[in-house]
Amino acid sequence: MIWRRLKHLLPSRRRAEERDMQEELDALVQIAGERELGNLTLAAENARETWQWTSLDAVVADVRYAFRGLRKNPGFAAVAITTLAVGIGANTAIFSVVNSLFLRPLPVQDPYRLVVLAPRERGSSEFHDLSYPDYRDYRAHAGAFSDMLGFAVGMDGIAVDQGTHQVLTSYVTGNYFSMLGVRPALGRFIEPAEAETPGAAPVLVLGYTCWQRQFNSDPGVIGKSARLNGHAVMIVGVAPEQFHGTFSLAETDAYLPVGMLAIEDSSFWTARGKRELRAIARLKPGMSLKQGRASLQVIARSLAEQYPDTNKYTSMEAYPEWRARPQPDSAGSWPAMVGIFLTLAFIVLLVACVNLASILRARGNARESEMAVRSALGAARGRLVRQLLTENVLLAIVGGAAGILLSTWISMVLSSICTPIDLPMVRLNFRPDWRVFAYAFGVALLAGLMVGLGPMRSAWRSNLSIVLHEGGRALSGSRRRNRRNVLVVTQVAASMVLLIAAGLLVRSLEGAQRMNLGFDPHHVLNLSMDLHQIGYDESRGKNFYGELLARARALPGVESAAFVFSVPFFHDRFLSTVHIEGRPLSPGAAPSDVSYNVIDPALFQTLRIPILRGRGFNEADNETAPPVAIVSQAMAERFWPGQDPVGKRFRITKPTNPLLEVVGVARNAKFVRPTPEAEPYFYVPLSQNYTARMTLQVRSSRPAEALEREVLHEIRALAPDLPTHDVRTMEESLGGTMGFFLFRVGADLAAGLGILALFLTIVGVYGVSSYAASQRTHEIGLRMALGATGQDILRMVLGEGLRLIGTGVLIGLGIALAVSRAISSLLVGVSASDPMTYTAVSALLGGLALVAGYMPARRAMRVDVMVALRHE
Amino acid sequence: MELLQGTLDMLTLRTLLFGTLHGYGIAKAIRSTSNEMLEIEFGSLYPALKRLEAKGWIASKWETSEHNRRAKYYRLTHAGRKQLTREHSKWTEFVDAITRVMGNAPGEVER
Repeated sequence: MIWRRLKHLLPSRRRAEERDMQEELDALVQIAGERELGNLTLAAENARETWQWTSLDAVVADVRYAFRGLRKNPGFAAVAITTLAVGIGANTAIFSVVNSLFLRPLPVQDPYRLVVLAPRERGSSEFHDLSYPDYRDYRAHAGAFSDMLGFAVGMDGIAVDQGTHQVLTSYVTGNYFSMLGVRPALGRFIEPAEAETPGAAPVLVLGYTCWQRQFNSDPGVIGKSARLNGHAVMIVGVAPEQFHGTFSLAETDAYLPVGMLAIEDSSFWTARGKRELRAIARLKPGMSLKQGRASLQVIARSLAEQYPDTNKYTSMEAYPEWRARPQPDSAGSWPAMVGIFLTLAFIVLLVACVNLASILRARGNARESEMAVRSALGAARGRLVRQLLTENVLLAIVGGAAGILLSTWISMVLSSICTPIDLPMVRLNFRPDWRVFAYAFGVALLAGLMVGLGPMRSAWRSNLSIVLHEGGRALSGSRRRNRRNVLVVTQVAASMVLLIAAGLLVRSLEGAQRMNLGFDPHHVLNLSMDLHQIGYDESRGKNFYGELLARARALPGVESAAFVFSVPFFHDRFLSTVHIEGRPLSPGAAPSDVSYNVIDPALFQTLRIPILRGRGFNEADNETAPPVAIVSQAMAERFWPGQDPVGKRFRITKPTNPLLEVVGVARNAKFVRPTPEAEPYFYVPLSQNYTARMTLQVRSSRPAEALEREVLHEIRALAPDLPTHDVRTMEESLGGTMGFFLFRVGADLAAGLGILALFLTIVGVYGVSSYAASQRTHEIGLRMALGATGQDILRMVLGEGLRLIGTGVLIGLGIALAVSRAISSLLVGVSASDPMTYTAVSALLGGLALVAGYMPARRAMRVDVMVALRHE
Repeated sequence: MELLQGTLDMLTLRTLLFGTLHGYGIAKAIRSTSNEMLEIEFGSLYPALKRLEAKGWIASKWETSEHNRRAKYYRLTHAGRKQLTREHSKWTEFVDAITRVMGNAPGEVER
């Protein structure tokens, strides 16, 4: 059956059929006479349809015809294709960002069966990592998984030949590479025996980019020795180019055996409280995520019973790898984020399509007579609709191709936005893959359909006798005007929604920046360092800290200097459970998590955080003195409401740890992220909590560059090999990934889309009103001949525009009010129904649209009555 | 009288049950069998023939007529015969159903 139709596609076969049909019809004319048989052309045309299988043949003809049409109207083609390219390009660009961050699978074997383990303490909003013994238990007993790898991400110092660099490292279990199914680009990977046996030879596998940049792609690095944080290691291999590790934010520079985490603290192998590993498991064939989750939860429960000290409150979740980027915590939030921006981009497309629809309508009037003539000559109605559909889809495809080109350019710009953080960011790879092409194609097709629907409907309904008789003004009455009005209202309303979303995000960025942070970020310089990276132990480290502080404070113009572990809004931070003395947990209740910081006593001066009660830290708070802490107001209110917290004591991490005595209360300061409400927070002194990774903060009114040079000079004098990183002013640092960065990206992106939509809308309104005015020239002339003044005409035309734009603005306001709650999670310091944003956007859009409508109206007012009346 | 929608195929198949006919002959045969009641537009019949041929229910062959004129003659195939049987029973059911609903003409309905 299919063949019987398919063979008609062969040209020779087709010609034979055609000839045969002509002969048959000729023969019948001989027998019956022409009059008896009627319209033979129509009969033949309809008969041909039966052998045009899925009308492929007609499609080819339609496409050819459509191309010719576009070539004959280059102006129309250029405007239409540009409009579509902007709409499709914006959508595709945003999608390709989403794609490269979240959707593209890891370049490993069967990536969709990978599941990230997400353990969490009851009552905590954040997931934590796994201890090595816990990881071993999950790996051994989780029956739904064929294998499970563990890895820990670190920032370490690597020294080859000379000079130490900071690199991003992954400490991996022995099955890491084999489970992922990747092959080395060079040399070999880490053997299972090397990774998880205490005391095994330390080996190192380089990431591809690190190998290229720091070793000039020298194959001779294999077998070379290097020093990692002062320990000797041997380079044994290079990871493949596509594989960037399993930490999705950045490319891993070096892979090391997980056993190296135990070099300085062998309790790594056994202590269940040392949670350092992220685990990824591979589902067995036929096992669902739900089954995987269940099998993990069984183990979590039995561990909680066996090891109540550490595991009592731990519950276990699991997410597909692609949803848990960069952290399992993101699994809930990114679909919403992505959804919002894809929706905003989609509104741009909608506005672009409406523009194009108006253009097509105007053009469609000219073509109505063409359609009528073709229809009178015997073309079937379906055929005409198909022709229009083909033209629109062709437009959409060409516009889509242009859009993809545009989107690659936009994504290039987007990927050059550098994040203010010294991480070897994955060079965001926005190269379009099949997903991007499929998306762009889908969007283009949708655009073609949206644009084509109107003209197609009128072609379907086209009443040829009217069209032929009235010379192309068949629908010039209220119906056509109504449709035009719908277009204008839609466009204005859609832009309103988009602009309000953009306005709210911009206001939210301002709100975040204006927020009272609780500290003074001005005139502070940050320099981060990790003494561990050059192999310093605690006593050398303490000496170094003391010496460097003294030298920094002695520099001219330096007001104050202090060491701090967590710089505000930076990714390094401590989080711990808190157990209050004399207040045992009621059974079933989980302890609360509180973020804390390790600081030098001078930090409160350096960041200008006042101590409200009690005292700050001082020299007397050393290793031999009782451990002390300073709590924030919010922590005092949370744990000791209505009491004086000074003198109260609490423990962190475990109920068996030593008690910390609260010696002071500091004013709330936002260290974790810029949220409006203050979170509980506390500080412990560096002297009692040695930490090798610290940031020096220097307050000085001198220019940062000069100061930076001098401080770096002092550091080099003390420890020539010590790498410094994230050297920047506190103000710059606030723009970081945990700070304002996302607010800024969101605001910029939304504002960009908003401006696009605004521009398209203004162009659209201008085009529609010009066209409307020109269509009504006759009517206007008639009115003026009957005594209407120019002012009356202006009022009439403008009044109509005002009504339309007003309707659009009102509808837009309504929709925005209804849906803005969706973005309220992204807003800080501004409500989702912020009156100022709504007013400003209404005024801006309404005003500009009115101006766009006014110009054609003025022209209409100046119409010469005689010219207008003759206009026919 | 105009044809009911969808009955043309059935009428064509039925007409070819008696023997082969060319396109115009089919139109004439339907007209005369129906006592000139059914008006067949050749413009609709011809595409229908091509459609039936594409479905394999009729087949065509060039032949010479009794008046020594060449024309393309159509005949019912085996598949077409089966199709006609199906359509016939569907049609009878349809007519029965309609008759039952319509009953007598309104004037004859008893009060």
